[in-house]
Amino acid sequence: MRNYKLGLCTISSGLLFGCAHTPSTELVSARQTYNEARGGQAATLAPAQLDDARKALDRAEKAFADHPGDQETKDLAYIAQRQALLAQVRARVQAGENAKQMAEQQKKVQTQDELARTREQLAQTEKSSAATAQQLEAERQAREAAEKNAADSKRAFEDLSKVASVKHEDRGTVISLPGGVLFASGKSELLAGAKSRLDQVAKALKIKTDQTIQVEGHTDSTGSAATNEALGQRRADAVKQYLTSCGVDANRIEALGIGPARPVAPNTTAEGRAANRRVEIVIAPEPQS
Amino acid sequence: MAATEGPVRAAEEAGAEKVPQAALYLKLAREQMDEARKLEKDGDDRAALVFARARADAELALALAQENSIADQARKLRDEGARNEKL
Repeated sequence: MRNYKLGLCTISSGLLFGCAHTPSTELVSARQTYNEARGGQAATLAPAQLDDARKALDRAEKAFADHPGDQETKDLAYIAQRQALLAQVRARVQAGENAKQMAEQQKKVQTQDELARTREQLAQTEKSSAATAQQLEAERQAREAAEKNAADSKRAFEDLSKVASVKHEDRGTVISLPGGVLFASGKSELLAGAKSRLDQVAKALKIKTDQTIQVEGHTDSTGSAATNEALGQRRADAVKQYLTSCGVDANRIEALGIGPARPVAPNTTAEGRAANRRVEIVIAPEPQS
Repeated sequence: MAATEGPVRAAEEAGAEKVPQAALYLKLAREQMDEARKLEKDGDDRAALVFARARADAELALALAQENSIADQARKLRDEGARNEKL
């Protein structure tokens, strides 16, 4: 591209040939502004406008060469200076457009990132909601099972209370079965009729699966204490064995031979001794949750 | 003359009067348009060149107004981006 220091050469040439015209301030300014535009970003960002400026300056230089002092030369230089300025401003406008596009692009990326984050949060929320719903469903099922268990247990104990004495004491629920219906006198083998009663006991015990059970063999005071205690133990063992055969977990059951140690009635009467001959099945209180 | 009025109007519409440097060139453009009209009326040949001067000033005023507007838009977008990054 043409260098407008050439203008100075034109002046030098003019001097050599006896033409001593000084360029107008308009032309000097036009040359300077054009050179600034050409050396700046206009060359890359506003090349068309820079080309227009060069053409305008060419016209001004030609006019200066032909008619150095004319008003037309000044006007053309004025226009050339404005064209060079315009090239600079158009370059800055283009730079601004580029910056704007970059910022828009950045904003778009940010919006996409934000959208992705929102989607992720939504997915997390949905996952969390699903987990909560699942937990609620599990709790509902557990509650239903517990309610059913309580109802079954209540029914089983109601049935049981028809064939045995059921009492609630501090040590737990006590199912008391008369010795006479379970065993023959002095024996520890279960009578045939005992089994139907113990079946109902087993049914109730299988519902309350968390609690430990004590099977206690009680006797009257007839005979030696040691003999009665051993008899009580054998009877307790027999009951435990039968309950285990019905499906009650053996690990839950402890069989104890109490003998005559804990009478519930005086041993002085036949009725009292009959009441003392008994098997008690004690279900420990429910564990506190 | 019509070729000059167009850029003057465009510069006005682009808000040149609110941008100090653009307003200065717009003022020069208007003054030179008036002068060119008088010259044209008087049959002076210089009228065309003065119209051309006015046009050059008007185009410059328009470009300066556009520059200001784009710089504003880019700044707003950048500020918005910086705010979003802080969130």
